[in-house]
Amino acid sequence: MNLPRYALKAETDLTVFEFISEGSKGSIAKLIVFTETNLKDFYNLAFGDKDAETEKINDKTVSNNGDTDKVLATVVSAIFAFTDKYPEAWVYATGSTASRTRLYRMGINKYFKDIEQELHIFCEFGDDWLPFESERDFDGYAVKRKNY
Amino acid sequence: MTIEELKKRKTPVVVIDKSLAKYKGKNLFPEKLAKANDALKRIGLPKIATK
Repeated sequence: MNLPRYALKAETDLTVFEFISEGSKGSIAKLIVFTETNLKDFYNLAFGDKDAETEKINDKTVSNNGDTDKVLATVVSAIFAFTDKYPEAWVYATGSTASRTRLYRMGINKYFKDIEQELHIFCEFGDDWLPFESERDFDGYAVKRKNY
Repeated sequence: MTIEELKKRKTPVVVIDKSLAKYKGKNLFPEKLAKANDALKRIGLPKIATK
C-alpha cells in the first residue's frame, strides 16, 4: 500500500496515535484511539481532531483540510501498526455520523485490494455481519489481521 | 531495508511519544464505544470462514 500517509506518533502500547494533517486549513493535530470494548480482543477505533488549547478530542468536526485520502490511508496504517502488536485483535469502526461512516466505506472501497490481502473485513448491517460491498452503506466495520 | 521498501510496507514506522500516554485508557469517544458494545451484544463477533 504505497500511498501517501502522515507520519505517526504513538504511546508505548500503540493504543493512542497522533498525526498532523496538513492542508488548505493549515496543520490539524488528529488522534487515533483504540479502546477496549466489553469483549476481550475487540477494540473500538475512533479518531478526531485534537483541540490545541484544551487538548480535548472532537470526532464531529469536519476539517475540510483537502487531504481526506491521506488521512484515511494514515488511519489504515495505524490499524496495521496496532494489529502487528495485537494480532488477535478485532478493530471496530463506525463514523460519528452516517456521512462519515459512508466516508469510511469509500475509503475501504478505494484501498480494498490492498486491505483485503491482509485483513478480514466484515460490515455491520442491521443484525448481521456481511461481506464488503462497494455500493452498500453499512452501520460499521470490523477488521482482523489474516494469517494469525 | 531500503527507503523504497520502507515506503511500501503496510505497517508504518511509528515514533514513540510518551506524552500521548495521558489519553490511554480514557473513554474519549463514549458514543462510539457504546455503539461497538451494542453491536457486539446484538450480533456477536463476525465468523471467519475456515478452509
